[in-house]
Amino acid sequence: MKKTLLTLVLSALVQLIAHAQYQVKGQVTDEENNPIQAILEVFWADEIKSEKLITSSKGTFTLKFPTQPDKIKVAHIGYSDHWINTELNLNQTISIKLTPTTMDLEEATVIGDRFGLGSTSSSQIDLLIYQDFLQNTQSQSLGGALDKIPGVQSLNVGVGISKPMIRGLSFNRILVNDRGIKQEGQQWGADHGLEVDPHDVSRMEIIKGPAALRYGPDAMGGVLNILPAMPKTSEGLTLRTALDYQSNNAFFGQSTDLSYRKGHFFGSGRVSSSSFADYRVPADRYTYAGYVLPIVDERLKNTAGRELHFSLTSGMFFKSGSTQLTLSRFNQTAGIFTGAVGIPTSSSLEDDGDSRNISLPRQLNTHWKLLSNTKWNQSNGSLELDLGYQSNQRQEQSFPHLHGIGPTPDGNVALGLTLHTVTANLRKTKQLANSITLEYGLMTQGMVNNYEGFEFLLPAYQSAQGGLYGIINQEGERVSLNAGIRLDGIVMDIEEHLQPLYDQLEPTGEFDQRNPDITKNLLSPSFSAGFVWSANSSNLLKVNLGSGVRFPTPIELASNGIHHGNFRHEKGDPNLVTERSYQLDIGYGLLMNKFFLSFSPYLSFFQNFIYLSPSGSFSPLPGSSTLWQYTQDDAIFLGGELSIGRDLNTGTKINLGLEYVYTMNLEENLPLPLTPPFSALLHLSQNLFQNGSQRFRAELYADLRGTMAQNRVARNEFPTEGYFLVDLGGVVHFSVISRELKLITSVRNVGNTVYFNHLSRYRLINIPEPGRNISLSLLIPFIKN
Amino acid sequence: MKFQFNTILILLATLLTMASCGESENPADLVSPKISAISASTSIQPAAGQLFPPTLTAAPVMLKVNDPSGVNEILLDIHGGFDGHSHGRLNTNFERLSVRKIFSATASDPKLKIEAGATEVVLDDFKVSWAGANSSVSGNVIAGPYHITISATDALGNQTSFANASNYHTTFYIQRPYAPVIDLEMSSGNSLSAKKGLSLSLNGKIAKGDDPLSSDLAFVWVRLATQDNLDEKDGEGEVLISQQMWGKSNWRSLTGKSFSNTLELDLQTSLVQNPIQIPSSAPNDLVLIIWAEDIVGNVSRMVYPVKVL
Repeated sequence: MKKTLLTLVLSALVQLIAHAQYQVKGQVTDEENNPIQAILEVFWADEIKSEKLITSSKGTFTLKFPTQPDKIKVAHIGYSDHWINTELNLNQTISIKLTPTTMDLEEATVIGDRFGLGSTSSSQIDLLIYQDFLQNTQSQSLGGALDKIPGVQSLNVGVGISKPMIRGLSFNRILVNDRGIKQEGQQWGADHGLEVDPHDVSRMEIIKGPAALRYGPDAMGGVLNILPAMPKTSEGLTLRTALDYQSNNAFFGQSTDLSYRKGHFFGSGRVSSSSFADYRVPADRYTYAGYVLPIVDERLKNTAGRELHFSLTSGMFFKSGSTQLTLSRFNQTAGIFTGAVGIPTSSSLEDDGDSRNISLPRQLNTHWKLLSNTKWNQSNGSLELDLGYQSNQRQEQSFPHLHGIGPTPDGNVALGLTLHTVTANLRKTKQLANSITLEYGLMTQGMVNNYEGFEFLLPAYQSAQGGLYGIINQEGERVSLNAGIRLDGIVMDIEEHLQPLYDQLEPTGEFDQRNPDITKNLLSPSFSAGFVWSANSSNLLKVNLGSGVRFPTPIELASNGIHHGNFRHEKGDPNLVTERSYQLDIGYGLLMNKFFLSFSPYLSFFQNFIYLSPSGSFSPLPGSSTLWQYTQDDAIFLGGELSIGRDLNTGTKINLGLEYVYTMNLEENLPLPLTPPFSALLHLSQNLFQNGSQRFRAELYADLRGTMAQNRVARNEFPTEGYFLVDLGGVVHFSVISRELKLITSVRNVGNTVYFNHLSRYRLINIPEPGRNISLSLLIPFIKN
Repeated sequence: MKFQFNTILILLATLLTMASCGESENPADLVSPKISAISASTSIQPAAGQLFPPTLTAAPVMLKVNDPSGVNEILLDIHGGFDGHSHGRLNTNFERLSVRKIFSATASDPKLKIEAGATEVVLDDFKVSWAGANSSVSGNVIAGPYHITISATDALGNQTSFANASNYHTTFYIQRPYAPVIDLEMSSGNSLSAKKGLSLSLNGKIAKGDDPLSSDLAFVWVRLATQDNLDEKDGEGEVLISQQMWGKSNWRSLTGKSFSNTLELDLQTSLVQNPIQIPSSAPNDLVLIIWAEDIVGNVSRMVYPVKVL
């Protein structure tokens, strides 16, 4: 009896203690079971009291409280918040898997995601790509790395400089967002690259179609949203190096990155450098101006270059959020093909005996960025502040032109442009109800542009721009809705430029006004709405309808000079008005057993689409040809992408991507310039040793690209013949001294095919694209702690 | 496996079909104006490689432009072709000929006025002068090669282009009395002769002229080639057989042996010391191209046929 009583008493005590000491154990990992050192925020019912804790470096935790909490939030930068249900029986170990998110979006998915259309909560086609994807393309430039994605092309100048085009739109209609800040350079030029180190992109979201609502007026065609690198999930140090080689232009490069995590603090640093020689084309001559001109040793003279970039990031988690500061510099010196400036002759194209020298003409680009990202987690949402300062310096250097009009200028700076940009973006996300989220924000930007050099193209200007927006999302089990409005305004002050006039080398004291003082104050609203319908586990439909605006830029309003990048005199028009788009985007995804299909058609109507139009008159400037005037007409863009994928049981994957863009200038009834041709990419890959040792894995692939001729051309644009290319490659993972190394190899243009890219600047002078190129990359993790 | 093979075949066929065919042409008029000689029996003036001897001070410009939608503008552009457009600097009191004239219906200069909307415009009464009252240079023109480019636009904005060679573009040569003198004795009629397997023998000299504006020699370049391509090497045409250089060029990255005398280069003795060898496989007809510069940049250039026996 005593024994029974004792048992009852002890049992009661245990029950009492159990209530008095609420306990939960667990481990936080990512989707691949890598431990994450996360922040745990514990809330009690009164909502006033909360307690913040951090897990161990292995992601494990044990929480004990005298009273049962109301809810527990598990958070880590770069991942969606996870809520622990405290109503459950928690006296056991639980496993929490955090899913990646972005600073800006609630959800994003990877290429090859279930439907190939991006996230299931956004009505836009938003894809997320990772560093692996960029590494495997082995492209020298970020723009060039993306052209395997259906609907994304690149505008190239040789091999080292490229800029992205999404669905036929580029320049100021594609927005590049780096760590929350819009990248600002001289993006109006076809010969101006993206100025982002491709090695320094760990995650990037690609939005195809209009995204002006969240990102601002320039995002009419799409967004490349470079996301902050995720901090290390556990304490320690990581040091990795990537070594790159390319045979075509004797490219040697390295990129070394170091990242650390110590308690609440984290940081990373990267240095990338490269040097490349003149690149080879599969031709020893080309025809221009009626002459057959030599390409000595099949190398394009003076296309060598070198780059040196670095970035440093430091940040910390604090009680209710996290902050990080990034300083980066992109630095590039690239020669411009000698035959691409002026009228080439055999003597100017003679071999100079050094394929690695960078002589005149050349371009020098330096882009400094200081970016700050801070996020405060709140009980029903978050608040984010992104601050940025950018200094973009671009110099085009050449010998001065001597046409007897004025005295020979000093120096070799033909055109120097310096653009300073400050940006501040504030964004608030608030949970209104269980499935309804409101996001609203304020974006501001100030710019100052100055110029130097003996040529003139773009005047000095200052501008201030701001935008207010609000987006509401409702996520249902089957249907998600989103809608938003935005109001943008800009104040622009462009300074007059006066060019001295000469008479037979003597100054007359008179001036030619290249552009007047121009002041623009513009205000325009945008809107967007859409839905996602997950009909069942096999069918997904996205529909998005939006109207965006783009303010005319200073180059469109006030340029007046020779743009050597386009071989013509370009002139702005101060009377240009705001461009407006009405865009319908549809995405349909079908998913069956190991088969997927996605189809994403779109239709865009642009009111007052701004473009360069041949005036039919010759330029009064010496050394130039015709005058091209920025003008605006209504235009349509329609097209779509089709992706089909099949995963065979044998480890073989087959993916086919098709892309098509149709453009029409509704005033001239002609296509718009630089319309990408219909193209298809068949990607075949085979996994090797998939069932073997984890110490050795390999994947071989073949890319077969067929591109149709582009005969739909704008006035004074030449048709381009179609072509068929084969690329082969492979990725091998293997272990050496407990380090997993990755070797990437590829042969591009296996057949050394002579072909022209309709979107290449050198297409204008009949220069074919690069020939066969063998690439090797080796990724070595030196320290992985 | 059957599915896999068939699928790949079908997809490959799709790709190849796409690469081999294009979309239909635009029905709109995208054709640029046509620049041609005034008649079938003449050539556009100045013609390719045309020499304007020291006695001439102007070059007639003669051509016609046709376009069914109407010729809008014609651009005449002449500028120095000394350095292949590399835009080098030269400090000199001599001036390069630089002409940029736009012919249009709205031109203020009556000489540049053309009929509005005309489908054919003939230019047969326009001259470019480098001396005298109508000279395009205020001082003395630098003798040597000049590029001429004729471009045209039509009423729709279509323009001629370098890329498809619809512009007229060539090189002509202005000779002046103060430029270096090239004096070569012909071995038979108007040509030189040489023998396969032997070195070229020349009688003559390259010298500073007697004109008060003449200057010392700076550079001499003697080359034997299969044909003259006006210094714009044609991959199908000019093949260099052998060459010799003396001095340093003002215009190009070319340097040769030092001059023993900057007033005169005797070709006979100089080529004995620095022979131009005729290969035994050389064709029967070659050209000898002599390029001579003085220290202020004047260029004299002569081309002589060489009969190889």
